[in-house]
Amino acid sequence: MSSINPECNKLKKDYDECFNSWYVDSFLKGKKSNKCDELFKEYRACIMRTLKEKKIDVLIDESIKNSTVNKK
Amino acid sequence: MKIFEIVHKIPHPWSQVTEAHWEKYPNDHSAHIVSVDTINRYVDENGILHSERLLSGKQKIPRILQKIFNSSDVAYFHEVSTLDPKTNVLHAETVNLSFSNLILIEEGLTLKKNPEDPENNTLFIQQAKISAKGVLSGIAKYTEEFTVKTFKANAANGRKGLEQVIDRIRMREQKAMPIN
Repeated sequence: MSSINPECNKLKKDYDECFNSWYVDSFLKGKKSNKCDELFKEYRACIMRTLKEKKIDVLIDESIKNSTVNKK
Repeated sequence: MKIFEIVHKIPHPWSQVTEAHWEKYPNDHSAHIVSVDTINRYVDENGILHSERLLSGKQKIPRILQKIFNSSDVAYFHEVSTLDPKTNVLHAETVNLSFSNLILIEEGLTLKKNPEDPENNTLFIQQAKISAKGVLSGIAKYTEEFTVKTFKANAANGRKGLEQVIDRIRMREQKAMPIN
């Protein structure tokens, strides 16, 4: 599955793979681990640039504000 | 405003169903989804996993509305979820970011252990609230009914997609098992 910005695909793939194994092998077993944090930071930085360019960050903020369900 | 709820029993353990929720795309039943990104994720002090994802897809709206609003073909959706590994409940709320001034589709998904068979069966509970806004509120009934119809069809596809991914995960896990 592609990222919103195909240039972030490699970072996304690395992070998703890390997360999927973390979820099963650490999180669900109650083990603490932050092994994916660095990968997430890099991947997130890549997509956040695109979100700003496409002004999706503004859409998200508005959506949270207007939401009728209880969101933070 | 239209509200409806669909409940299904998925004959697989909760851990596997939630694993599939994270890996759900791509699957053959959700060809309209173009991209999925995790934009925030953390575990809070109570051990609850919070995730925020951005999905983009080809929006299915009535052709007449596409013409009126000159819509681009990609729509964005925002999913916010919490997953509590102690109570074994995943809850996700998804809203459309595109056209939300015209029609707001708020979808809730809960995945929890089926009390009748908690180790092998998972309840898949989907809710949707659909409200026509602004200029569309004049033809709210038409718009909402159309959207409910489309949404129900998509909801079934969403579940089929999830089940396909569960099968994929099971195959992978069987392969990974050591042969004795």
